[in-house]
Amino acid sequence: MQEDKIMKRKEPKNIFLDGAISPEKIANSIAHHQVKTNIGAHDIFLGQVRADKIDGKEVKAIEYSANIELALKEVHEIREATFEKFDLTCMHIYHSLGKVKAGELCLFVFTSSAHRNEAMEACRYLVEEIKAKAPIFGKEIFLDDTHTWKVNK
Amino acid sequence: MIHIHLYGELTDIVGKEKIEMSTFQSLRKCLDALKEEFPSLNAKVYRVALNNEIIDEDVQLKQGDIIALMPPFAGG
Repeated sequence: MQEDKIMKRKEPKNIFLDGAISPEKIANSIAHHQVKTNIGAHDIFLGQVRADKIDGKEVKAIEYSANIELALKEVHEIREATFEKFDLTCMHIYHSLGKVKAGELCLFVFTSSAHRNEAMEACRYLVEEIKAKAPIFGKEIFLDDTHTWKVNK
Repeated sequence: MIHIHLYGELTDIVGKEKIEMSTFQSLRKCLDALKEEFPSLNAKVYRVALNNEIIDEDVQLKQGDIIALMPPFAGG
């Protein structure tokens, strides 16, 4: 198990998916964990594109882009730090690239542990770290096809 | 040549995602030359990465270096 964990953590994993993250992917991901019977708790964060109103105009989609190489490096480091900090069985991180319509999902963070505290705290920690450190950018496209750039609050 | 990669709203200012600069005595001089060409960059906040390492200080550049200019991150 320990060896397995170390092997998995060597290379930066791809986190990027083209377009929206489907609810089916999330359901399947949950289903895949049923064989891991040492898990007692999961926590999941789902980021969804909001139809923000900015200066009277409504956002219909966000087009995500990233400095992919640097983002994967940063997320790899976040992943390692999270494994150090929390006693997790596993974690999964996915972020969209390209266009995601309002109402669709753009971020999926999934943590699993023996007990709830570790899973929940790690999930929150991961989301905050990804937002702060991963060079990902969002072009907010309005109904009239003009755009602005997303600013994280 | 120094390769400049632009991200997010900076691509709107420069009009493309990648440009090349021939000024490369130092990172600061290279960015100054870029800002002279695109004065709107002066008003923008961005982080700089040199060959995939985020840096804050001025450094000497060498042929083929890649500089990434990244506005505030907006993932999630």
